[in-house]
Amino acid sequence: MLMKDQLLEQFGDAVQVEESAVGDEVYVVDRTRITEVCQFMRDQAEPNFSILMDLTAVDYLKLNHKPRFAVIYHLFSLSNNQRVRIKAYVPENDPIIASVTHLWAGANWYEREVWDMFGIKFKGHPDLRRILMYDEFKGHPLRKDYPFSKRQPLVRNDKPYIDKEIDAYLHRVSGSNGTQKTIENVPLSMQEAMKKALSDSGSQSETSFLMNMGPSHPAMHGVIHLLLELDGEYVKNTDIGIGYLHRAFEKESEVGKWSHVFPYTDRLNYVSPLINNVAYAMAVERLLGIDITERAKYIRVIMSEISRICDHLTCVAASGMELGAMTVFLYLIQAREELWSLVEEITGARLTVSYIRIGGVKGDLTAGFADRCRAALKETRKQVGECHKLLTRNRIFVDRVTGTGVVSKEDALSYGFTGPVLRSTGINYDVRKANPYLVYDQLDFDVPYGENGDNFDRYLCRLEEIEQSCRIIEQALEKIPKGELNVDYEGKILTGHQMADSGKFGKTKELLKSQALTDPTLSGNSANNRLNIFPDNKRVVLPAKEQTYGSIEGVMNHFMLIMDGYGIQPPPGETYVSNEGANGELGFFVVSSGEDHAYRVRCRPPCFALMSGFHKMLQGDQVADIIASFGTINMIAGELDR
Amino acid sequence: MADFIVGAVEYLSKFIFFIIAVLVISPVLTWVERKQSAVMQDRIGANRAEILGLRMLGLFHALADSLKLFTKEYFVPKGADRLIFHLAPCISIFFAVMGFAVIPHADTLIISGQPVEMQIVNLNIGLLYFFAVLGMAVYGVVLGAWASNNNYALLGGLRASAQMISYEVSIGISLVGIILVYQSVDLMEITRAQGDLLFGFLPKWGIFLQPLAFFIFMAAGIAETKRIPFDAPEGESEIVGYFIEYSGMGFGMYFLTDFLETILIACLTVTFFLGGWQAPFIDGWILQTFSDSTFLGIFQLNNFILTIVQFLAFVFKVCLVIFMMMTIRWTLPRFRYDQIMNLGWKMLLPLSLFNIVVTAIIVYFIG
Repeated sequence: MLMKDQLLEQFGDAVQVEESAVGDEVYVVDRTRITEVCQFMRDQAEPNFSILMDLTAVDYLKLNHKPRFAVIYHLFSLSNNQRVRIKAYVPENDPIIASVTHLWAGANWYEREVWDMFGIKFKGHPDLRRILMYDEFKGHPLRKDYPFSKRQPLVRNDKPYIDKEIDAYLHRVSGSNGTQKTIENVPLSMQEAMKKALSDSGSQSETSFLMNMGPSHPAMHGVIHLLLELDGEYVKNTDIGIGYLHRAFEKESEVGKWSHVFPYTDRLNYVSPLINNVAYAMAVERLLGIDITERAKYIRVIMSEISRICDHLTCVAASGMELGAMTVFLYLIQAREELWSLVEEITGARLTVSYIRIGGVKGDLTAGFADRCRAALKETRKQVGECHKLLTRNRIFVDRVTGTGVVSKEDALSYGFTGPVLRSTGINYDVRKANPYLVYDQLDFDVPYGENGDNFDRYLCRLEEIEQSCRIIEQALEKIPKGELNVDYEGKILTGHQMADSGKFGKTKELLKSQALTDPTLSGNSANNRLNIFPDNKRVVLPAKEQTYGSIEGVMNHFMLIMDGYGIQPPPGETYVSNEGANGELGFFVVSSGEDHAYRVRCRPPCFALMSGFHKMLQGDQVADIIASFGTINMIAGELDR
Repeated sequence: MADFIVGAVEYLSKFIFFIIAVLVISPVLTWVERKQSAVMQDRIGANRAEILGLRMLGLFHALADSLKLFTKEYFVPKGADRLIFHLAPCISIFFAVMGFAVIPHADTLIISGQPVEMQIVNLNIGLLYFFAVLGMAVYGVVLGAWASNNNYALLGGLRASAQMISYEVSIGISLVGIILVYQSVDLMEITRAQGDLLFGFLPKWGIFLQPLAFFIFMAAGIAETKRIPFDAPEGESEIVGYFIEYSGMGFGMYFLTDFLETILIACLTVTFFLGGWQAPFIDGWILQTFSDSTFLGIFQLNNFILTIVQFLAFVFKVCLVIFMMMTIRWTLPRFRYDQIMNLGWKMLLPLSLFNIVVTAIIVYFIG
């Protein structure tokens, strides 16, 4: 039975089907029955939706929609890879909806974020406080009536921040297991704890103490705060504080043009920026309903996989270094350097690439790229081999990572884990296989998965994924449709300013014959390469520089796309597009109101779900294991805090 | 009285000579460590410090490092126990330096017909003295950690004390085999006893007579120096270390202690297991080739040359051991605290006890 029929049969009027222009499955649910619907979807529906992929909200104030807010649930079914969007409208005067934390533990942080950003309260949430913004912040920034340019002083010193964190932690602990803890019997310092244990030796005494790890700590790369309750070396409880790197990505995205979002996406997961670029571009293209060229798809796949290798290399290298294996770190970074040189060659930048464009990519692959790429992959394989020798067969390392940071299948699903962390528990879910995008269905690769869900499995998964990504790139280089770069082009190359100058002097005829070179990395962007990397779609794609400078149609086209109030204007609609980031499912939920800028851009960062369940992995482990687990999680603060 | 003064001057001059040598070597060791790790990791390594355009392969980095440490602010955290906080690094470095007093670095040198021991203090209980000094070294760490009033420091201090005390047991017991074999606790005597040849070709070194003890001593020795893979007390990426609150020279002294201990452990490994200053096969040749005529007025020529050669042999062996320790340091990842304890109590201790039993039986029947 179709999902639609099941829901209508079960809930009748409380569920309505919303038509979606781009083919997403959307149901609007009465907010009073949201928990029932979610429970039904999770447990009884056929297929059942075991993962809450994303939970967010949209403020429809400017679209004059009543009720004003919608809380949006993205559910995913592992059994047949189906995605469903559930919407529950929440009115402005009574912004309350029931919490689904008891169904999916991962909803905890998502709901906190929605409360923080939109001021929607979740009834029954165990710990509803701000998550990305600081406690003194007034208002809810993602509401449409919160002015974009409004500034607030960052911190007022009425109470030290750390005391607040501790209070919140104690509140949570006392709430969860019923035993009342006060600040008096959880000493802050270990000295106090030891003195106390000595003084009431004989009687039952609690000797745990609180320790802050981060936000300034060598292993908490990025910035993150772990408030640990330790019993000697053992971790009893953890509270995780995030938001130190919050840069208002989602708010900024609503202000700039559609294509102005790309530089911000570079900074989400800054270790693999190209994947973020691709994910966002795919979301917008889906709204626009355009299909990009085959060659551009292959280029996107190649660049994404290079990024993925970089990400995994960095992750394994850094976790090795944090466990004291400095040499492995430098070996792997050497391999990453080769790959980053490739990225630099194609995109012109190493980190903040902004290479993908809506409708294609910035420039074609350079001549001889394939050979250099194969050489870099050879180097990568060599260094990964070194890593296997130094770590995978090293007794100390294996003992340290085996059985630590364990996460069970059930927890992983409940927290909405994706990527290598989910796969390490034995659940074989990879967006590239589940919902193939670009040309992944035409390439042959395996998805490695583990069985124990511990640090060692995660480490092995990542190393194996490097190998699989190498295979993907090699196949893509073989299969990529022709469109050789500058092969028999006779025109002479002019730099950008020369071109503009001669245009001003009316020498426009020759300009169409010569090749534009605005910067060295844009040699792949000339007119004769355009058809390889961009669809012929004038309402989306900027014309080649030769046309802009050399013909009136080109200037007009350029002008229309650049001018305020024109530009790229996807038809009104909403869509959720996901792709496989290096750490898991990277999703973009994009809402268009038909204007030249996004109405709402929601990024579903894989790290967010991972970090919301991180405390589960630490429980019962030792202090030293925090480092190992944190390393293999590969938290990237850029996408966690956005 | 005159004898006493002569003796005091002799000890003092030797002590000052050795301390200067050691204190010069340990900063150089920081350079060695950087360069060696650079070679292992395909890097160039430190090479930018220069004096008047002279770079000397980055040797000046040692100088620049110490200069930096001396000029940095010495910060005492709020809530620290000031007296102990200042005292702890001194205690730490004091005992590390003290350990060198009993290391023999050459055979007897004859000056004006008087034999002079090439050892700062010729203690007949040298080995016990070494245990005592080693046992005291842990205080500098624990006191510093406690006085810092910092959770990280205290965790580091606890790890350090547990680790050092555990591994001292193994060190002590592994050396009982050496005592049994060489029938002495005087380091000079132990070294001399290693001069003979076994079966006519193999030097009678500790590593050949006590191979198991050698490995136990090396492992436990590296654990004593608190370096990777036994650097859980420091664990720079997890708890930053027992010296987290120390800055400037306070940190510098702990840092120096680490290197001094590395040298000390290397010296002791050489003394117990690699024949100390013995230069096998060439010592007899030197004594025969050179005459015993007077040299520079106070020395005997062949004795003088032999002493130099022995000293160089000793330094060479120490460098070799340090090289090995650094190679280990840059190859392996760090143990976790409980793994260190398991290794110490469940592996090294039973092995060293087993070694004693076997050695005792063999010595009883053969010796």
